[in-house]
Amino acid sequence: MSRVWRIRPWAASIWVALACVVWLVFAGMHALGWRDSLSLLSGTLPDAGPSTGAAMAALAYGAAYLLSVSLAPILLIAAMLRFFAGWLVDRRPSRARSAGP
Amino acid sequence: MSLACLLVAAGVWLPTASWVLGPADDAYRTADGRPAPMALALADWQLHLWTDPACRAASIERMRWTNAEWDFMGRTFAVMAFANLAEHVPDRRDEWLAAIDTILDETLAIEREHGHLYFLMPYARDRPFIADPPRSVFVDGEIAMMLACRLLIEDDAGHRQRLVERTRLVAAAMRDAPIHNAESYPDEGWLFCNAVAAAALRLSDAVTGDDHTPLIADWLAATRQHLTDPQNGLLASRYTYDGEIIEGPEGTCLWVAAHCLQLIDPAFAEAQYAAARRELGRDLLGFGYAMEWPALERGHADVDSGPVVPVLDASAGSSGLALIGAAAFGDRAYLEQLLNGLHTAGFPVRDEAGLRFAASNQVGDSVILYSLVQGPLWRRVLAELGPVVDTSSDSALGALATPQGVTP
Repeated sequence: MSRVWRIRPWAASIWVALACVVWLVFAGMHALGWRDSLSLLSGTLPDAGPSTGAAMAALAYGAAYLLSVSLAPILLIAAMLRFFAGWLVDRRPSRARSAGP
Repeated sequence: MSLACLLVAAGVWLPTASWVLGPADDAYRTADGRPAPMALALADWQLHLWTDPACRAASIERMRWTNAEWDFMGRTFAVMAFANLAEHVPDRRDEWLAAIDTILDETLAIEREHGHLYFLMPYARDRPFIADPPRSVFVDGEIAMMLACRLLIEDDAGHRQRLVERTRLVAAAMRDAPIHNAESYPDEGWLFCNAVAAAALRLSDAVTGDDHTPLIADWLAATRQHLTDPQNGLLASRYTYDGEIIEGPEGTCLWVAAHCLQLIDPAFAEAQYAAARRELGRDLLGFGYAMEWPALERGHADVDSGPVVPVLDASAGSSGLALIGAAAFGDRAYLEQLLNGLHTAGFPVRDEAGLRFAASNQVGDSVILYSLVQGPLWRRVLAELGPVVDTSSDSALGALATPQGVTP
């Protein structure tokens, strides 16, 4: 339990992990062939016929795709920026120390 | 600092997403005027459908479950696309022509077997047509369009006779109607259907040597007089046989109507496109889309508009047909935005049979294909006949963009 509390949601590694999860979930749905159920978006029956499952698959696939092209890249870029910013901050004190008398 | 990183990342990604996710510049449109690889792949998929009866039957059944009209319109746009491709890619002309004949033969056989109303929605049977004979200009106009496109590619005595008979029906229905707009459904006219019918008459004149110029001019004058929305200058989409407006301007009608008007009155067509672009065309971060209704005249989502995305009011149907408008009027910027949206939110599926869009269907794919290859037939008819309304042929041709969106 204490380990869970130690997870820092603002850590760059968490953002990278989250982006990877989004992409993996999307890739899984794609591998399962859920892309074909998207014909429901145009009001057209998918190959499998009308079913609640097909509608759910279309919604889930659409949402996962949206997240994978909008949220995941942002998380990845933010993680890189965070890492770079942290690296700069870490370097600053050592410079100050080396420049001192 | 973390929040700042997230904000900067969003600021970097969102404006560049359309560039990263969108198609390559020459994927859908090439600079030299020939159909691009994606357009040819879309054509291959349509050819596959029209040469594989089982695949075709499944595709059509899935559409008819929602709307029988899509079955019919998918045929019309496929024929129009194949006819233009026959001009673009003459070495594959026999393939396109064979597919056109398959579509025509099957469509006419279905009409003979199941009746004239087979391609209409069920409410066509709820009450009688006012006009006599009771026919739909949706069906007659688009069959005339298919026949005329086919004959512009290659003459055929049987099809020529069928075209003469069909245009006689269309012309009589439009001539007898109070505002020269015939019924698509009982006591219900649609701009889309009448504009396609008027363009079909024009194409037919180029084939047969007939002259429907006075009728088409009367149709245009009555349409402008009775169906123009005073707020935005756009033409209304649905009206009674007497010309009372039922529904105002709609994207799913206007983009195609403007394209058809290019054969009749290029200056008015350009004005309609410009107004539709202003009222309905939108883009978000480089992804283009179209609304179904002007902002101040919101309607309700229906089978034509397709699903409408809340807040943005993006309509799948209007966005797809906007491709035709943007391509036909050489609006390169909007066309690129629409293609970005299509490539990203249409979910392309490419396999050995060709290219299709998972979020679309046969009619949607054939509309997209037509938008990418349209041009040669319209240019040919304008060069032969000129526009109906008194505009010089040169300026009419100048207003008609090439399929690549470059005004010649």
